[in-house]
Amino acid sequence: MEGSKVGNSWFIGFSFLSALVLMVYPLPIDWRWLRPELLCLLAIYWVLRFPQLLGVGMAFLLGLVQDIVQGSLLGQHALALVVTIYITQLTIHRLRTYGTLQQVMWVFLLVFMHELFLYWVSMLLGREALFSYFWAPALISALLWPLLCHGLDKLCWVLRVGV
Amino acid sequence: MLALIAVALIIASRFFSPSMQPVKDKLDGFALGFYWITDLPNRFNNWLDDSLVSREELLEENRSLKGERLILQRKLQQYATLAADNARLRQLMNSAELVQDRVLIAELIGVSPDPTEQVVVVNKGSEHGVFVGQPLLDAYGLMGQVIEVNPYFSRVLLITDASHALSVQINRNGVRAVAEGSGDLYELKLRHVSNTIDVKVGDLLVSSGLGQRFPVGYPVAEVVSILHDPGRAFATVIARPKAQLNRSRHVLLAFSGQRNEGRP
Repeated sequence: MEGSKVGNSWFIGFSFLSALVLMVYPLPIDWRWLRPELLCLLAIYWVLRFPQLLGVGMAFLLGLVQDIVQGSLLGQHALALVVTIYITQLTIHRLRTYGTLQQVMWVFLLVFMHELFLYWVSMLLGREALFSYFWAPALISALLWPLLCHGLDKLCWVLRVGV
Repeated sequence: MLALIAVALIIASRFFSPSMQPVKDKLDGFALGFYWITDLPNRFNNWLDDSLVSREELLEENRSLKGERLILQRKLQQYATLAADNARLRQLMNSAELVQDRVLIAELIGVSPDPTEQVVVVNKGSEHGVFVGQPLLDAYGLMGQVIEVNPYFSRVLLITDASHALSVQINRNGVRAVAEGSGDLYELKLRHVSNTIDVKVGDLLVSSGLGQRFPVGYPVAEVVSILHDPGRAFATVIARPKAQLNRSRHVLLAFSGQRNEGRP
């Protein structure tokens, strides 16, 4: 799992691109706040898998791209993602030994923090953020985490990524 | 370290946005690709609707459209004489002539993913003559105004966004008020309406044209509740937007004579 090939980067890149597409996929305007933070989840997953390949720098670039695509203030998502990935890196050994339920709870906290930074910037701009904007995406993302992990593990195995 | 850079970027893009505009335009071209992709299912759906229709359905639709057209034409006949009358009366009163608005048909291709702002993306940009501050309408009323223009698409702030306000008047008696967004898609609040003002539930609010941004006379909202609280200086008046902010796909960008630059 530790080794990595440069040829795998296309797969990682592709997964990020598809996550970005899903992040801007138009949901009904009343239900937007339920959207899971797929990109954040994916970044956490890849950092766990390839800690020496991907890190805070990647998180920064990824956040910038997300800002550009979503049309939010440049740097907003970059800041949130950098902080989240930094904390992921600090706790990487613990996260790997955790069982599924503990991982889900930890991911909930990580995504919650991500949202906290995101809406902190929004609120500084004078917008109003409800409390449900924080916990709803975090909860849904955390529940998606085992699915995503399992699915990507399988895909990686099939495509021989990173072995 | 990178977090600091991110903070610096946030500050920079907030306060020095004009100098970063050319860079931003380039980057936004890249963003358009994503909206194009997410719009694909929608377009495929439309294409299916167009190509897989039975003959009976088409005939049925044709019949109902013909009926509708007849009714609208009858209304138009009256409208022609009314417009002429109106122009003559305005001349008598020496007031400015009502300018016919030119419109551009656009399509909604995206919704901002950030739930704290109510912004939609339409598929017309500066290449089609769209400018910042341009009003957006749908078939039922005023929707919002353009806040950001790129060559091929633009972002529109809806009237219900918490940072948006526009001047309106009650259609029945011409009383002016300011309608501000509440962040809720189905609610506009009237600001500073005194307790003695003549407003009723069901009153239609139309744009008053004050503030030089929106054209005069487009329907904006309908009053749904009025609360007179003796403890407060003003009445609480809640109105519901006429435009179907959450489902209109085909929208109109109006050109109403003068252009105004800058954010509200």
